[in-house]
Parts: sequence; structure tokens; C-alpha cells
Amino acid sequence: MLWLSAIRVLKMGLKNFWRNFWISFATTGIMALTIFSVVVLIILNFIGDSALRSLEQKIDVSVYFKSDVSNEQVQPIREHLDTIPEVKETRYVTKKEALEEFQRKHSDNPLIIASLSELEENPLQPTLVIKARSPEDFSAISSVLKDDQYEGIIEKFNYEDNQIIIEKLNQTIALIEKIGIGVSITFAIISVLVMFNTIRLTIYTQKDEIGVMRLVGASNTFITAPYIIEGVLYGFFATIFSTVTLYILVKYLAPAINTFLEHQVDVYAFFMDHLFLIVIGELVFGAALGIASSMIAIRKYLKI
Amino acid sequence: MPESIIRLRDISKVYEEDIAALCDVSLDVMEKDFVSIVGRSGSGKTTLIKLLIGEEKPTAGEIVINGWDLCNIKSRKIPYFRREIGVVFQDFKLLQQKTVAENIAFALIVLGTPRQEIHKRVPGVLSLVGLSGKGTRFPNELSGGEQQRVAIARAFVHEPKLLLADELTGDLDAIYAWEIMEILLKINKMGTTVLIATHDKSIVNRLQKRVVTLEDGTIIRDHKKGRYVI
Ligand SMILES: Nc1ncnc2c1ncn2[C@@H]1O[C@H](COP(=O)(O)OP(=O)(O)OP(=O)(O)O)[C@@H](O)[C@H]1O
Ligand SMILES: [Mg+2]
Repeated sequence: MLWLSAIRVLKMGLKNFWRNFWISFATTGIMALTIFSVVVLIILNFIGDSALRSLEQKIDVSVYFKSDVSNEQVQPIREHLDTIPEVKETRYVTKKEALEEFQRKHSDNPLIIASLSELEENPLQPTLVIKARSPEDFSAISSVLKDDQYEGIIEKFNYEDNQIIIEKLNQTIALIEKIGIGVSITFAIISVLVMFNTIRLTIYTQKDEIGVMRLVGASNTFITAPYIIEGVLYGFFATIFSTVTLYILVKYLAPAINTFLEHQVDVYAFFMDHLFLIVIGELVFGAALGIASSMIAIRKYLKI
Repeated sequence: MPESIIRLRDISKVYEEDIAALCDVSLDVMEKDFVSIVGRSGSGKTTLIKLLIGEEKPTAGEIVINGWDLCNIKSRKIPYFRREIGVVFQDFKLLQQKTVAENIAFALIVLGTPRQEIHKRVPGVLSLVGLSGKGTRFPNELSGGEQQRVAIARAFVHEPKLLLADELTGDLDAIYAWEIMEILLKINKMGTTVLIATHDKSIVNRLQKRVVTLEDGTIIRDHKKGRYVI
């Protein structure tokens, strides 16, 4: 009997949903917009975070050696650096590797490649890339490099200061987050209001049925459940709407975004990797908004 | 020994603005009884019915219907109480966009009755009220009297222990009104307690059943085989 009632209530909820296609469509649309804005916020957050993290990883000190320095001459410096705790890792780029890297970077520029092959000798310098643990470690590293014994082989070294960029990015992320949360909350409130109104309308058109149900002893759950289901359905269809829209957007915009971010992040991969979680989250969020709306409408107009 | 299915003790009902619709009403109705509540317009008949189905709460007093203490019933329990009674209101409350059969079936659907059971019961109750073959009609394709029969059928389809009817025969001519009464008598014979509120003199006199007379919210007469005397 419980099972039977569940099916009947589900049917009634579906009927409520399809009762007026355009109203349901518009309501679902607003809800989809809300879910969409929340997911976009999450994706933006991810992009920002990844960009930040990769910038923070890039606390690099590059040491350029004189052209004629051999790999064996570099070895002691490297070993020395590896022993101090401030250094996370070191990476040695030989002259040859530096050339290869340079060629790879400019492979789409035939002019550079051509002029490079004009040269008889490899013009690039061997480099040692040092990753520090934190920006404050720079002084410890530079004191090693300034050691007299290495003076002859080091041409120059520099410290890439990402601090300013990181700071700026942090501010931008915080701003986007603030705006995003504001927009999402606004949309959420609007969609709750719209859903509330739609469900109120359904209740109103069914007040005779509700009266009869009360009279013959339908339980409160049976009377209210179809409206709850109606609310959940708005969440359900809104999830489908927003996910499909997002998928299309991500698919076509990801290459541009990825290029813009210098391939530090892969938006499409992030979206696809987390698709299941995103959809579940959307469903839960959408259903929660729908249920909240119908509860308010039920409270107000069914007096249960 | 039949038990009392309706038990009212010193019931008062005061609506807002100090309108006392009922005042110190005590009444016992035994199981399988047939009782008519009569009285002038405004004497409190509808108010009494509303109290009996738990739609209104009394201002003072005690109401026990079929074991349910309606003064202290939790609102979420009311549906379960309602399943043990059947009610017919003056305005029938039929759903216009549903057919006769659907209207009756609706009462069973919302109670979780299985489909086969519904298919069995609806024709049975339609024939009981004399509407066999009219199940596929819509309420607006029926006469007022026929609509009333549908309302009775819906109130009785779950075979309640108590059937309450308010102003059933209001706008019907005498012959038609009596046919409706015969349906209620049949239902009563099947073992259901029936309580009707009416001001139809000739019907009450012809019934030869218990008559309780209300005036200004109090019971002024209670006759076993009563007549409607005002
Ligand atoms: N909801 C209400 N609010 C305020 N007063 C009410 C309400 N319902 C009924 N009354 C008053 O209570 C009194 C009794 O009304 P009730 O409807 O019970 O009479 P009745 O016997 O059914 O009359 P009728 O034969 O015309 O149907 C009347 O004075 C009426 O105005
Ligand atoms: Mg009345």
C-alpha cells in the first residue's frame, strides 16, 4: 500500500509538473541559471586555485653559466645546493637541452628556427633551475651562489618574483568569488521565489481536489508529497539543462581558456573528471531549492 | 449491546465575534442508529456536523467519535479518523473535471486502495445509489439529485462506520428527496450509523426515526420516533 501510494504520488507530482508546460519551462530555466552560476563559480574557483598553485610552485632561481662551462664544473654547485634545506629541487639544463627546449618553444616560428640553424655554435647557456620552498629562502640560496669558488663559472642568476602576480591573482580570485557568490545567492533567491509561486499556483488550481482529499482522509504526506515532487522535478530538469549547457560551453571554450592560462590548467579535463560529482551536487542543490520552495508554499497555502 | 459511536458532552462552540453557534449540547448516538438533526436556519446544524468530523474544534466540552477524542486529536491523526467516517456536504464537493466513477475512485486512490479493489467497489456503490451505467458521465451532465447520489457513493465507498450528511435533500422535490432517504436507509440497514442534518419536515416525519431538534444552538427536543415540530 505504501509502494502503491508512492507511485500514485509520483504520478501526481509529474502531472503537476506537466500541467502547464511554459510555466514549468520558465521555472526550470531560472533554476538552471542558478545551478549554472554556482557551477561556473566552482570552475572559476578551480581555475584560480590551479593558477595560484602553479605560480607558487614557480619560486625559481635560474643560474646561467658561462657558455664554455662543462657539465662537470656545474656538478659541485648542484651538490652544494642540494644539501641546503631551503632548496626543494634542482634541475640542470645542459646547453643541448636548452637548445632543444628553445626549438620546441618556437617550433611554430620558422623564422627563429631558420636563423638558429644559421649559427654554427649553440648560443644557449647551460642553466641550473633551483626551486625554493618559499620566497623567503632566496637569500640563503643566493649566498651560496655568491660564494667565491663559483665566481668564475656563473654568468648571472636571477630570481623570478611572482609575489606581486600572486598577490594580484589572489585579489582577483577573491573578487570573482565575491561577485560569483552574490550572483548565485541572488539567482537562488529568485528561483525559490519563482518556484514558490509556481507551486502556489498548482495548489490553488487544485484546491477542490485537496478539499476532497482532506474530507476522505488522505494523509498529510499524501496530500503534500506531489508538490514536493514537483519541486524536486524542477531541480532535476534544471540539472539536465545546466549540465548540457555547461558541457557545450566548456567543450568549446576550454581550448581558449587553457591557452590563455598557458596550459597551467585543463578546464575540460577538470569538468569531465568531476562530472559525476558536479551532477550529483547539482541534483542535491536543485532538489534542496525545490523542496524548500514547495515546503514554503505548502506551509502557507495548505496549512499542514 | 450497541455502543455509542457519537458522544458529545456539554459542547459549546463560539465563533469569533462572540457568536455562540452551539451551547451545552450533549448527545449520544448508538451504533447502527439513524438520527436526524433538525432546526431552523442558523440553529447550528452545520456547526455540529463540522465538529463531528473534526473540521472545527469545540470551545468547550468533549467529543468522542468511534473512540477518537476529537478535542485532543493531533492534526496529523485527523486523516486516519476521517477514514472511519463518511461525509456528504450540501455542495457535494464533486470534482468537475473527473467522471462520476473517477470521483468515487479518487476517494479510494488517495487512501492507497489497490486498483483491482477500486474496480470492484466503484460499480457496487454506483448500483447502491442507483447510478449504474452513469459512471462515465461528468458531474455537470447530472441532475442535482444525481450529483447528490454521487456524493453519497463517494462518502460510502470505503464503507465507513458512520455516515454524516448535511442538508442532503435541500433543493429536491419530495419524491426525489425520499429516494435519497431510501438510499441512506439501505446504508443504515447494512450496519452503518447515519446522522443527517435537515429542515425537510415531510422527510423527517416519514422516516419514523430518532429526531433531535436544535434551536439557537441548544437541543430542545430528542424523540425516539420523532416528528419535526417547531
Ligand atoms: N465560520 C463561522 N464564523 C462565524 N460564525 C459562524 C460560522 N459558521 C456559522 N456561524 C454562525 O453560527 C450559527 C449557526 O450556523 P450553522 O451554519 O451551524 O447553522 P445551520 O443550522 O446549519 O443553518 P442552515 O440550516 O441555514 O444551514 C449562525 O448564526 C452562523 O452565522
Ligand atoms: Mg447548515
